[in-house]
Amino acid sequence: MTKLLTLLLASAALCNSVSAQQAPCKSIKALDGTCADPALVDINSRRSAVISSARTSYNGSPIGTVGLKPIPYERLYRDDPVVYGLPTYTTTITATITFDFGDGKGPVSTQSTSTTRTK
Amino acid sequence: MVEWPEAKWEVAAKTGYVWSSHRTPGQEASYNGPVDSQASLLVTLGTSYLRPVLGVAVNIPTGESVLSGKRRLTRMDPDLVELGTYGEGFNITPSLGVTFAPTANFIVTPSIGYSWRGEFDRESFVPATGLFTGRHTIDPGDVLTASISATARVGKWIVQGSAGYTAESEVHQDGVAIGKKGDGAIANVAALYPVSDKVNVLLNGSWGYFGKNDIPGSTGLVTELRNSNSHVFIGAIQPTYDLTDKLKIGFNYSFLYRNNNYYDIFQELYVPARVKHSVGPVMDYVIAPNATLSLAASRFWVVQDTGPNLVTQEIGVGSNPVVNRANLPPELHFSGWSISASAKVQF
Repeated sequence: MTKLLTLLLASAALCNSVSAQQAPCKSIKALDGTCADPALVDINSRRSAVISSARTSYNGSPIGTVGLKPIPYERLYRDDPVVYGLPTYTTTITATITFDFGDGKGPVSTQSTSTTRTK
Repeated sequence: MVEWPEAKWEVAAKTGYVWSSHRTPGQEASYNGPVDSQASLLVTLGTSYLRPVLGVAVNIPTGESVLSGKRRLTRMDPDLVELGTYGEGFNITPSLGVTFAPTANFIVTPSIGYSWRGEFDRESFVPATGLFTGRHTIDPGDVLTASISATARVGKWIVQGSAGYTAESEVHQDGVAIGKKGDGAIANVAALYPVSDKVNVLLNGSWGYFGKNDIPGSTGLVTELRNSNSHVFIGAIQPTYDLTDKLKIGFNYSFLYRNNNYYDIFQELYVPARVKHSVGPVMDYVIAPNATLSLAASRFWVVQDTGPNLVTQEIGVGSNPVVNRANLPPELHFSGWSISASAKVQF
């Protein structure tokens, strides 16, 4: 048991010594002990903030976007007529029914449909 | 002694002004004015193995949300114009993410954000006058977004991806619940491939899908029988060339595809399937070390699928009436040009 403890302490001391000799990472350390690519760390941190805050407004978030113009990523949630009041085709059915009592002069019923683009 | 982590603070803001004119005969209207503004604060903390990212983004209602009368027609289709609406309420979204690196070239960030969306007024139809001169108060509800993002370098490629889940609360109009958007799934993948020192190719793809909405029923909100939301796909490819150290030019092709037609008879709402293609040049110019000007132009084509097959006329006697039907609205084609200029200044 004492030998094992000594071995562990020696290993820890060696690790600390190795760490002390390494230059500090510009960004975070990876789980395998190497230095993570700072550019990738920044890109991904920003991307996560963009995704989390995209619903702040119709125009997304000033932190940035993850899509490309001219069809931005924010387009995914712009189809909301209640919140954004955007035009959607509204089909209005207006029915006119005329009863015919069998004199043979007119139709039994008529139904007409009109389509309007309203908001 | 507690070591205070190194912190990086970033503040950003954006706003805009719009000139919008609707010239359909009989529906002429225009809106000239500011749109809503947004501001954000992003704080990135640095520790040995973890990088927490704290963000706050706000929407400041500097635009107009009440567009009475024909002015409401100046809100336009989001596939025809980039700014389709001009005002909503005061919204605030705090977010938190934690970045870690399984390997040097593979970075992961789980994150969560919650958007509190404030009330705003919207014009409403007044039956007595037949005009849109009334007002509704809309409470758009809140949105929770939980996501995970990852970035990796694979050979010469840099690949980024995100997948997320959204949940929204009820929307109220004048204090009465009028709907609730279904839970959503979203994803985005972006890739950069450097062909040479000066030539890069950007690829980008997004997908969104929402579950069944809750709609007004006889006893409050009920889940709709058929999902009125569609799958929406967005794809883009953009090769660019660094003409000089300051000037980058490129070409963009993008498409949008909404896959499903739906007619909601309760809300008399028709959501058409649609395809949009867009092509055009792009340019980025570094005006100063802290300022970039971006210009883009595109030609677009939109094809909107036919509407539901409805009875337009029924004439006849007895059991054999003549029934005329038609797809309303019919298939529609739109085309147009889109030109945009934007400036980014870093202080």
